[in-house]
Amino acid sequence: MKNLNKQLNNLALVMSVFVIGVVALMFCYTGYKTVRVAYKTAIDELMEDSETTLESSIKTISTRLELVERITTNTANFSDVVTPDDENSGYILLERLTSATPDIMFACLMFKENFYPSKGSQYCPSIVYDSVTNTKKHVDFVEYGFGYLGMDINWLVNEKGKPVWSPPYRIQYKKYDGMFIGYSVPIYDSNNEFMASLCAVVNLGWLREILDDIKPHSESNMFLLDGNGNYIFRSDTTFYSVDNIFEKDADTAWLSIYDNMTRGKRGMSQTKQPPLYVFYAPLGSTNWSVALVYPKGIVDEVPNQMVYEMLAVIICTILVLLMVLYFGIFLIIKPFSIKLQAATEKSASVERDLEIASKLQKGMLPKDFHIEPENNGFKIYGILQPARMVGGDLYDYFVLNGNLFFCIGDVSGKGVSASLFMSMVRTMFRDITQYETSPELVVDKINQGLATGNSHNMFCTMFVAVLDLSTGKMRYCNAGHNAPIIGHRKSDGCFVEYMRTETNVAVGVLEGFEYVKEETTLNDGDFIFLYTDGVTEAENIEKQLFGESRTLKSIERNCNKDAQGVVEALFGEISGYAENAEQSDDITMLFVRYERPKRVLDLTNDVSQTPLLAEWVDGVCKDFGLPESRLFNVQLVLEEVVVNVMKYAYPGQEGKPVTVTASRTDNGIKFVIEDNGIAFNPLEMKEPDIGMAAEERPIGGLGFYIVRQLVDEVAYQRNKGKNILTMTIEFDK
Amino acid sequence: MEVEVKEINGVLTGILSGRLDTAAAEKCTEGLKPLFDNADKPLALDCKGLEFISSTGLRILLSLLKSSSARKGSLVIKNLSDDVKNVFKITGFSKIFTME
Repeated sequence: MKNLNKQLNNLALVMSVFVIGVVALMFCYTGYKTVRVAYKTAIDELMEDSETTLESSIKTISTRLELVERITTNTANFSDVVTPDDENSGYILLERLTSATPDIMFACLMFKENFYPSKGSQYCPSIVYDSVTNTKKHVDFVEYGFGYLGMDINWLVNEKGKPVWSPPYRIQYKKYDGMFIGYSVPIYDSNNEFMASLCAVVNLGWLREILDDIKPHSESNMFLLDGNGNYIFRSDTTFYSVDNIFEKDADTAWLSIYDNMTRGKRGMSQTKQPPLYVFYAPLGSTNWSVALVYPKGIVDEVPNQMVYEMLAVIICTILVLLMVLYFGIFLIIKPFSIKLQAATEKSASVERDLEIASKLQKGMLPKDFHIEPENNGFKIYGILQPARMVGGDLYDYFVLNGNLFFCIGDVSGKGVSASLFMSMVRTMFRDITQYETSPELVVDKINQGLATGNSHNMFCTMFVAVLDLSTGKMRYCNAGHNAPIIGHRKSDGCFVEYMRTETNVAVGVLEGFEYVKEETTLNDGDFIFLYTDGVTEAENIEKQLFGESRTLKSIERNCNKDAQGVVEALFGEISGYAENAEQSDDITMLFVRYERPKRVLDLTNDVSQTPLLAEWVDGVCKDFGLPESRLFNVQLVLEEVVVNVMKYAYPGQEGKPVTVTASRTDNGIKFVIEDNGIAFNPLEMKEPDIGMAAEERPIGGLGFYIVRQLVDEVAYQRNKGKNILTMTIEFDK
Repeated sequence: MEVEVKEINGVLTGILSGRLDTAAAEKCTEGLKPLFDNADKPLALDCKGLEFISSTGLRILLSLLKSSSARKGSLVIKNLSDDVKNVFKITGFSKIFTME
């Protein structure tokens, strides 16, 4: 039972682990999928946000710059106010520019070489707007060292005619320290000749504010690149650096980013060191490009958070499940296991009870057939094999006052109920036969006994017989049982047939039924074979019956065997016939052979014992009913034979056995004289010539001659070192 | 079995009684010694009380007869029972013995 508990524990554990395993797998799978989606969503959201951000920033910046462009281009149209004779004529334009928007804090005209010879080769009238003091100042920027003609700045003298933005410059001028870019537009005179570049310079201070404003995340960065890959603006630290990135960042991703940006492309890239998402888009006419930079960590923040949360949930759930399952299953199974245990024990207990009952029932049957004394007048053997542990068949026998009482019975049904009924019947049989010796009355009384309290209408077929062992007369009564087989000994084998009996009703059926007695006489060697229908109705796998014919033939075939041999032979045949088919009914057989009791006299080879022999012969002949007148001759014959054996069988030996046996035959007595001395067949002795004269008659040889004259049948056998002489004396001779 | 030897009418007579079986043979021979010794004389055997005789007994009688014949005596057997007479008949003894 401890084993059962352990098994249950294991079961609970296995089930728990299994369920958890499945659940965990499910969780992991869905979790994985969800996390992927989360990451993607995060990125998508990021992209969307970035798009929006970029767009808005681009818009803002572009708008402002476009304004400058428009103003400057517009102003350039008024180029006809600029005359070569008036060196200050340009200031009108410049005034216009610097008044148009505070973004333009510096405007200048870079005249072509020697346009105003009085001013020298280069002349750059400028207006500087100080937003703080709200004052404007007119200066010739050349005087401040702005030798533009000598400068390698390709946008300054813009003869091609296209307005162009300059790259960003850092300018430190008095209080100004900032990034500036200039938009220069060429102006032409009335002859369409180039006069000067009109240049509006814009302070980029507002860039930072804009970009800071629209920066979506505290951790994110923005930077602006110009068309040449120079930083215009970088939100991380150094606002004012103008490094060319190509010298700096080594990550190839950056290279492609910058490459794309300088080409005015828009897109998104990821870098590895540091891990960043970079969104970029072009700015428009300035050939600038804006980029938004997100550390990957930020992007992954939300999904990571999700992952951690999910893992925590999973683990907690699993632990809880584990405990719940383990204890839950255990709690559920425990009452079942207790019930199972109880049921198993109960079943085992019932099994044990049945075993005991089976033993008890077997104990009720007489089994020790061999302990019957040799010469009691019968040989008997029986077999009972129940279909289940206990059965409803019975047989019984016992000897009382020189009579053999025997019976066979078959209770309706099988199993425990039939076996209980059987034991009642058997008890009654034993009880009633103590005082009642007529079979029909025995049956009648058993019937009466069963009538009371027989609510289940159980009944029992029976065959009861009483055999007088000295005479062979058998009285019997058949109560509904299948007719026994009777066998008569013949010279070679036997004649067997089913007995014809009265068909009385089975016991327990009809109270008060009058049972009929019957009688027959068995001769020496005749037998009765009793059986139940478990024999004739034994089934094979095809449900075919063994049958009465087979049964009869088996008995006939084996009739010369001893009682055990006959029964076992038939049983073996039935077993072979049934093969593996389940035994459908109890199989019961009882074989009784009548052997007239023999009388035995053990002598030794001592002729002085002849009086003993004479006395014994006297007793035997009287018992067997030999007419008195014949006694003399019988005694004479016996003496002759026995003395013969005593004298000649054991030459030189004393105290050797000589055994005389007498048994009744149908109409006489059979004597058998046995010794185990030297082989000697008295029948081969020469007959004396009784016609001889006295003088010539030899003394010996007379004995056996006498025997042969007086005895009907004499036979000699040598068997297993024994001399066996058989003589039969018939009564009516 | 018993043997009594008496002189009856001048004839030495052995009176046999009981069962002359093999066991009794020796005793019988012993008892009949006087007859054997006087085999030249007329002898008689009275078997009125003889209940039984077997071949051993027959041999003794035959032996006595032979002695008697050899010495020119005579032997008469008297009062045999039917059963014994029958045995004598079967064995042909009835032909060689003088029976009364």
